[in-house]
Amino acid sequence: MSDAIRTLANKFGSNPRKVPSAKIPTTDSSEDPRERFKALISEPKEFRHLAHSSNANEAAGVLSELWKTGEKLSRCQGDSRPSSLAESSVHAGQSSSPTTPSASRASKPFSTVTVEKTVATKIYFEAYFDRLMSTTTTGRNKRRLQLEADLEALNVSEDEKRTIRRQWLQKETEYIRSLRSRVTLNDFDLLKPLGRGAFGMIRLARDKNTGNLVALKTLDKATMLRRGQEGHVRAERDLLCQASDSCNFIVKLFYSFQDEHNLYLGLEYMPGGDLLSLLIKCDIFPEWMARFYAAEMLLAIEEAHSLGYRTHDAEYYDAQRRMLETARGRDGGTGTPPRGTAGAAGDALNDDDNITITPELLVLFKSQRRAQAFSIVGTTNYMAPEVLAGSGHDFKCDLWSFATILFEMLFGYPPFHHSSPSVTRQKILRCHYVFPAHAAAVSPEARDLMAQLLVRDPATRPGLKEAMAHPWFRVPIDGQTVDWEAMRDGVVPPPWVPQLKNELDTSCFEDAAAAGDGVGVPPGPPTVGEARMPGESDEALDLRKRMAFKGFTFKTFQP
Amino acid sequence: MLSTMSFFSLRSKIKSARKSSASAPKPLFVTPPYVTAVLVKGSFAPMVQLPPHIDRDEWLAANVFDFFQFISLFYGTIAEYCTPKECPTMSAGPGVDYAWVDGQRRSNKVPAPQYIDSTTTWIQGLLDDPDVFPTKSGQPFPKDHLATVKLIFKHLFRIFAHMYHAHYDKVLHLAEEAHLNTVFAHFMCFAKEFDLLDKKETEPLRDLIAELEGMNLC
Repeated sequence: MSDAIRTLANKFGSNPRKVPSAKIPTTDSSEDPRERFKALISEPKEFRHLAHSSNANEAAGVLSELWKTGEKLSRCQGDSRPSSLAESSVHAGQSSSPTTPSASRASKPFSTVTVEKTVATKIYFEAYFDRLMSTTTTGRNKRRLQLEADLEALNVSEDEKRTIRRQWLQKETEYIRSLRSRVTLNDFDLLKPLGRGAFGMIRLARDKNTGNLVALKTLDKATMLRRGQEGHVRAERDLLCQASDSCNFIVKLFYSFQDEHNLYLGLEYMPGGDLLSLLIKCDIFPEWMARFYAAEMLLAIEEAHSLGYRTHDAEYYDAQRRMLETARGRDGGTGTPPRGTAGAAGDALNDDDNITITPELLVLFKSQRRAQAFSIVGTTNYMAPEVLAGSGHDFKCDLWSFATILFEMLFGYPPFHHSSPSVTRQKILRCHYVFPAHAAAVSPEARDLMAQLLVRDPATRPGLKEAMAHPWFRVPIDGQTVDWEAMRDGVVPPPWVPQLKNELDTSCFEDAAAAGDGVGVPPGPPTVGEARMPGESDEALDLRKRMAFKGFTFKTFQP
Repeated sequence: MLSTMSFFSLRSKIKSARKSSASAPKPLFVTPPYVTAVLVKGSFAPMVQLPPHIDRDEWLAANVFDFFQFISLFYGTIAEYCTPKECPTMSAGPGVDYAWVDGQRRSNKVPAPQYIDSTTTWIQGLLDDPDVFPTKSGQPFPKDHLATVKLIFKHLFRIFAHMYHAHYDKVLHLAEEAHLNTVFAHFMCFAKEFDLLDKKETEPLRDLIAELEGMNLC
């Protein structure tokens, strides 16, 4: 299977992980029209050229462009192809033959429906075959090897081994079988709200078939499409799918499915809540505690990078950041690093020199922390300068983000925070931050790590290995240092263990109570005004909701 | 089970005129660069093999589901152009017209979109029928499972054949020829591995299959 190296055919050279900056190419007469045509519809991994142009006028522009190139293609088919080909292919005169690309048919413009469907189909297959050919060890093989290793360790008789193997086989068979049955919302008992995400509720739910608890995240399709977030969601789902078999520090995805209006992600339920909830509860973490979560976050970054999730593009920055969010403690929470704050009232737009955080701002920040953390545009605070500048970046932007989260864990607010997102952006681009007055309480090593990571030029920023090798992780705090191997093996006791009354105790989720209105109510269709773009027809939106998330459905093996 | 199914089954009528098509010009889809356009490098053969310790029927069922989705998805991209006017018959190259056999065993030439709609509705019905494709844990597959899978594959193949022969211009203009070739190669590779298609059935795409085999894809 190793020889089945994934490569995407040269001219289609579209790596699904790399999101090309899909713009409608400008007219260039020297260019092969066929290439231009391809640039229009084959390349985009995003739906930018369409879904993002989803008011009627823009779409018409794209379509007329498409039509023009389509026409050119059909006209020059005879001359642009090698002569041998022109001879062998059937042309005008036999246009009734079904094998003939008839010029008259070809010049018809494609309808929005066809272009939408085609883009979605192509993205689906590119991603599907990329996954199929690049996976060298299937989940099943891994599980099989794990089973054998476990059996070896168990030291049981051959007979017992056979029984265990038979049971394992039965489970695998049932898993394959379960892939054929559709998961729907009806397969879950919705129990309690856990919080609100950018696109909808996160609920505690119980799988009726298995009895397992999951955190069911609802994502409203229309809102996602309207905000152009469908690429992010796919990236998040792809990462989580791949991670579910092998990763320890990234939260597991059990199912993803969809209905007419929503996407659903069934995630491993972490009764300890997320890191943000814990941080809000504690305000700041003592250094040893911050260091534990920092180490877990680096391990999560390590796992994501090992799966090939690097941030070639701003689109994937989000996947990375979410991955950071899902760094988790063993029985502590899903380590959700706080998300940004961009929506705060823009009262201090012009005071650029407001480098340190004022007490008022701090109060405002804290009061809105949760609300802001889940705001869709609230990513700015944790974004690396090269991401903001769009000047190309690699996985090192994760380390910048990591440093901003570490800063917040230690000092209670992110380093570049400002009530105005544009000021935050400016501060990040200039790398303008200071340690607060009480920073002396934190070890010089911790400050040094942040200072090293918060530099504008990614080339001079330490990489993941260097960050993990930083002296801070070796400084004894309360006699403890970070043992990376023990962390990887998960044998280090977490700094905080939730005290839960029962398995349905959601008290660790900061706003579980606040979000209490939606208990047990399946998410209905979005309100009309919310969902639609100006000038967009119901039909176009429905089509996009149907097509844009093809291939979203996923189930993981649950032992 | 097969007896109830054959009541609704579909049969092809491949005219003898087929022979004369050998001298006809090669269709576009078997000429380079289109025929060599694929999304992958390497062979599908290792991907389609029955994984160790896995029940064969279960594996066939899982893959039938996938291929049906793939083909439905792909046909969707050209469906708008597959109209009774453009495609008055379910054609798959010169001299090949599939006829729809209705419930009364009457063989009718129907327009391609109607044929494909009937086919996909029929297959969807089978896939959703828990007596044909059991979903409950522990329920065995019916004895004629392999025959059912073969029948579905036969009809899925015909949709491929129609897309290649009647709609390849659209496929090219939508720049999805590499996608179509890749899905088809995967499909054929699976069909070969489990001997799901008769040689006679695959005749309409014989040259394409030979090319893909030459590329070591299937």
